[in-house]
Amino acid sequence: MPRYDVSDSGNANNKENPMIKKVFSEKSGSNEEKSGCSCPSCSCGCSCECACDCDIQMQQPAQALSGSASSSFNKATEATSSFASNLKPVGYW
Amino acid sequence: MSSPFILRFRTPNKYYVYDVNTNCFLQVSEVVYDVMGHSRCNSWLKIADELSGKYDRKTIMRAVTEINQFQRTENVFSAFRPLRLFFPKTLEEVENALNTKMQQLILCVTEQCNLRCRYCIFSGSYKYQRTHTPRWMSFDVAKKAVDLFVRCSSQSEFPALGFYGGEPLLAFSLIEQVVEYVNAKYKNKLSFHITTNGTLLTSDVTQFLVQNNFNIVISLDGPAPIHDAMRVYPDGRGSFDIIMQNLHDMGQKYPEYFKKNVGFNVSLSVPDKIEDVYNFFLQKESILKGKRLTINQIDYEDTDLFENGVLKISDGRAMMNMIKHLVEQAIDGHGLDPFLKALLENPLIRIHQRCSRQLQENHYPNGICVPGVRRIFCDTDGNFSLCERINPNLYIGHVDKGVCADFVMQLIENYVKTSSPDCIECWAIRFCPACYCQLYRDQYDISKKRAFCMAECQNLSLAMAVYCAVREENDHAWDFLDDITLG
Repeated sequence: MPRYDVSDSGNANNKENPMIKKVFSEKSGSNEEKSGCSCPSCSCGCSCECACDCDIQMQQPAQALSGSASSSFNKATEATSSFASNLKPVGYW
Repeated sequence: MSSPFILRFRTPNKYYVYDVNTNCFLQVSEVVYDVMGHSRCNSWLKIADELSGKYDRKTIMRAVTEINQFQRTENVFSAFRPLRLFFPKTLEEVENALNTKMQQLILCVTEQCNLRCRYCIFSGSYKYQRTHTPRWMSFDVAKKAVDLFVRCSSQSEFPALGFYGGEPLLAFSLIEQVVEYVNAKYKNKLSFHITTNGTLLTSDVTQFLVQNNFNIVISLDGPAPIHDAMRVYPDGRGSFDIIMQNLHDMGQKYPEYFKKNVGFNVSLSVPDKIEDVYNFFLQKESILKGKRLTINQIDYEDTDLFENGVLKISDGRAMMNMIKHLVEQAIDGHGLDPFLKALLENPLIRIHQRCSRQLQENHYPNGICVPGVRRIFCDTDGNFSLCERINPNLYIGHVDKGVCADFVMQLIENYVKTSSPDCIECWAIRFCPACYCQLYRDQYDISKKRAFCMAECQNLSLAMAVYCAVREENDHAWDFLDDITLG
């Protein structure tokens, strides 16, 4: 994240009404801890012989897949935007 | 300068940022959410300009200040990316796993099937898959495969033997022979599993499966109009009635077995009718109520099924209604019924059980297995490949020669090398279930995997929104996911 120059921003009154808060932290005793998974960066709950869950691949409608995934940052953005566009019509989200 | 490694998403009431490096969720104000969406801008003044129609400068300034403060104190919003995917095991370790830790052998006892399901991957509509052929496994091949598997699973806790096809019950006499052989030579060492279309579950067959404590997965897509539109005999007749009759008979005669050992595989051929499928599996008094389910969408890659009008693209509305229902049920705090569980449980488990360890320079290649260890698939000729879902020509061994560890290592290395540039830039890297199946056509092909990645990113962002929306209302709603281990 680039640091922005906000030297004239004064003292923002953040404490009472924070704009950012960490939520839904890791549960104590994550799967990694429980399974003793030795994988160096795994966080997926696998046993490290396999994290594959190809039995269940709930995928979104093929329509949403059009277009190329040129860069993954775009991927994230596209995912979010098409996610939102998929959700809005149902009148819930 | 790179952007922060984050994903922004929303629930009906709140705004969130998922921070990849710390693997944490941040609930943010709308203005912070919007500012984070402009994080490629290198000046807050530029952001202020771009958002000037929505917020005044003071508000934006406060948001930027809080972002900077939070970045300093909580170490979030970092632009750090892993340098590479990295598979940490050596050739010797892989070889050792192949020699001692095999978990499941799947025997393709025949490539023939008595049905001609219109969406079947072996229907001829999939470019890189085989078609139905009159190939049958011999007992000699099956015996060699079982012997090798038992030798190589000495350190595996629950080694399993699965029968697959085609329709495996067409080769019932071979299955009987194999089970008899296993029971005589390796008594109680292996559990038995079978995936069947359910049409050949006669009373004799069922009795045999019950006696040998088989776990059965039956393909059943929903009520008759939906099931029979796709799962048909060669003459076009639907298979629903005969399956339901067989299930009814089994449930009547062996109620406890039916309760414990039978599950269903649902292919969502018409996603727009998912609510009908849901209601079918939820019917009161039905023998299907409460049954274990897996739900699959039809594989849309490398097929002409959509072009030919066999399948239609969904607008996603029915699915979203189902997700809404899932959210409401989860908030109630009594867990999820089996159908809703099957819809989204895996990504929810990965999210719920995530650990907060910082992302490292070397990242384990997400969903991949050590080929041949978790599953090994043996075709009718005795060739070993990775699993039943991948192009069957990707061989890693043969019943006469064993599994080639060098080749397995090469597969892993190629996967890592091909995937790494995309994966290290992808926000979903810590949850991704992609594996060889998503990358392999007749060779490694990143374009195939990218299509999967797009869908998976949507799926994961949806799961994150569902996860957070539910916890906003009931912080303990997902506690039932604590002890579930993904296999």
